[in-house]
Amino acid sequence: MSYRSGQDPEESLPDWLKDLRKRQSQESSHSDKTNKPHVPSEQPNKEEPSWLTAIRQRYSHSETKPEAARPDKPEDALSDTQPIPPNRTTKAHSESSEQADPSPEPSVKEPEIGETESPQPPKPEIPAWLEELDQPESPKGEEIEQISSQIPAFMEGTTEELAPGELPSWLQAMRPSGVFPQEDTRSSEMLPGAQEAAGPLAGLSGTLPAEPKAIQSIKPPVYSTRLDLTDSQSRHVTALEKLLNDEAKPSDDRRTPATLPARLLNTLMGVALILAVLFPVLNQGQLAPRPDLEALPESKAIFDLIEGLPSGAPVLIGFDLQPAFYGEAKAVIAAVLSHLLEKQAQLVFVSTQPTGPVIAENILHDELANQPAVTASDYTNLGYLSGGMAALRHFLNDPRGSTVSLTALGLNPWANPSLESINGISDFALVVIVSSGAEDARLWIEQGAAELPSGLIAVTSAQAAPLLRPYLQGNPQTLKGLVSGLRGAVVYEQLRSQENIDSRAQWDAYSFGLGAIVLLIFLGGLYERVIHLQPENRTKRSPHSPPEKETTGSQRAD
Amino acid sequence: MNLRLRTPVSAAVAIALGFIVLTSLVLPGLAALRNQILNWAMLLTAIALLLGLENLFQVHLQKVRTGDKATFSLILLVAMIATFIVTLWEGSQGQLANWIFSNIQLPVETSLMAVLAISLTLAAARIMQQRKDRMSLVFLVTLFVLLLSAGPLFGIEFPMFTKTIGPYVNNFLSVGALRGLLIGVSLGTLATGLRILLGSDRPYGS
Repeated sequence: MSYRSGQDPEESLPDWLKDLRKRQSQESSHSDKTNKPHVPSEQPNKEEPSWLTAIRQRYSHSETKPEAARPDKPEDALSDTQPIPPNRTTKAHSESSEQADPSPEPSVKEPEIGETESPQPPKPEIPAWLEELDQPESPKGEEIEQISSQIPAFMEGTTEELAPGELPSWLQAMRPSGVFPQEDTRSSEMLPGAQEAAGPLAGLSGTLPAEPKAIQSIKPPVYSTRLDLTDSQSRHVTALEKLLNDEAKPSDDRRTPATLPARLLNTLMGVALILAVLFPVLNQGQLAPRPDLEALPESKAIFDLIEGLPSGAPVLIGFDLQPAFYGEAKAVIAAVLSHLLEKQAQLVFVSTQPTGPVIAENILHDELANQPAVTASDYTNLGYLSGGMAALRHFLNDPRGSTVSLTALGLNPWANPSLESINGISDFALVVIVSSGAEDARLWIEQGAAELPSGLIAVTSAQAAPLLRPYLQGNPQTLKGLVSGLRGAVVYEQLRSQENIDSRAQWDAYSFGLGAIVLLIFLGGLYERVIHLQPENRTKRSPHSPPEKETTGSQRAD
Repeated sequence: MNLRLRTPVSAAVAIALGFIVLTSLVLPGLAALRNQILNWAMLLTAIALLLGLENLFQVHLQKVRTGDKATFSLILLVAMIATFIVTLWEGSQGQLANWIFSNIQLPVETSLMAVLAISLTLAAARIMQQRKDRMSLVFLVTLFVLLLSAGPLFGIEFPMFTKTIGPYVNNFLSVGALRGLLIGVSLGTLATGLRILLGSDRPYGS
């Protein structure tokens, strides 16, 4: 808009345009009189039927009014055919009216939908005087631009000429009722004037909605998965959950610091044990009686097997002893090995434990150094056999083809003339398992017992004996003999009518240590149950209740 | 190799080798192939032992760097390197290597076992304080019976325990329970072997 508000646009028009307008207004008033709209004649046409004439007469008067109220500008008429949403209309119109004209907003009735099919108004004919007037007084291009910029787009008073459209009654009767909604059914976010609510375009209007409601996903319904459980089933579920939760929890690793009396008591018990073990060793009085030979018949079986070996028979010794059990097992191992060496057996050592070959060498050189075969190194130590059960299986299948630590160093232990006859595991006259645990001995028994016609014998620590007894008492007997622990060593020496001073001293120490342990446990239990009766101990507790927190010596003294 | 192919390939290799070893027990013609496979397993186990040693070295080296109980880790690293070099130089039967084993490792492990004996004695003496229930009493009575039957106490033998009750417990009660245990272990081993052969259990990789 080039003109300022408050200025009358009519005053700024050029003189020629003012004259033109004055003349145009006069011509229009004259043409209103001469060019009346076509009104159907009330006289019936001769060719028309009577019923059509009656209809024409009935609606002739009402049809004239819409044409009279039709706006002069064609764009206004076209604009009426467009459906205008309510908020857009009010908003857009209010903005334009505020900028263009501060006058109150004219009341414009929205056209009915049925009016879109109304006939187009006839094209107005340009009068001849106007054509003659335009040709000589046609302004130049610059003037046209100036004029067009001075003409307001919205003339004041034009809206007053707009009259609300009226539909004829017959057309109103034809309108379908209830089909078209009274309001715009589009969602508010789809309307052109709607503002974006979220996202980077928030606050802008006229944008495509990012998430129209039509494509918004509906949250799926939640179906109940609750099972119908009985009380008994619920108790079982609760118990199982508690069991699993307790299993996942780490154990409480709280270390209760022992007070001085408790530490003193622990120290006294340790000292008592040490003194009980040292007393027979220092005394050397041979105080403890040796066990009967009939008490361990499995030891007698080993003795008989070794006694039956021919001189120079190859004997395989699976040496799977761990260093921690060296002190306990060396006496019984030395007893059996010395018997084998006295029978001039060709000893072949192999181990599935990395420390086994070294311990075997230690026993041979510490306990059996006086044996001629040891001094002459007339034995074979194949070394470590890595691979566990698979390696043992391979060794039992093909001893010469197995890779042991000695062959890995480039040496060939099978080149010894005494081992020329060995091609398989069954060529050994006897297989002896020296083991500290039951698992290693069990591997040898399960993998090799079927392929050894002469059977297996075991020399173990005391802890492995109970687990090997089922193989000893089985039928067929997969373990031909068993000697274990210090007791087995003493029995075996008795069988050989020998008495080793060291093993005898150990047996005495074992006897006194055993007595001290039994006494300490008995006194400890007696102290807790009889002497140390605290008030809370008299209360009856559930057997499944958690154990009490460890009480210290000072608490007990209180 | 694509990571997705690793699991099927390893499963196929494990199953195939397992079937070969298993059928070789029935078909003697496959014995040579079985022995070759087992020999590979032995070599792989030795390599795994070296890898474990390397991992132990790395862990304690990291502790030395971060200062977390660095003293003990440093002692371990020095001892490990020294023993490894000496054993590699002399062999496992060498004089210095044998001295290290006989005068360091053997006494340490034997002493730990002796300390364990004293600790178990203290724990048994306090068992009635820790757990006052029926099973603790049963455990304590069984312990007394086995200790009394293990030998003479202070040079005094109790024939009722050493010749009657002790052998009965060892030859009947203990053997019966352990046979059930061994049967369970055997069934578990059988089931584990079948699961590996069928590919439902893959302990060699997920």
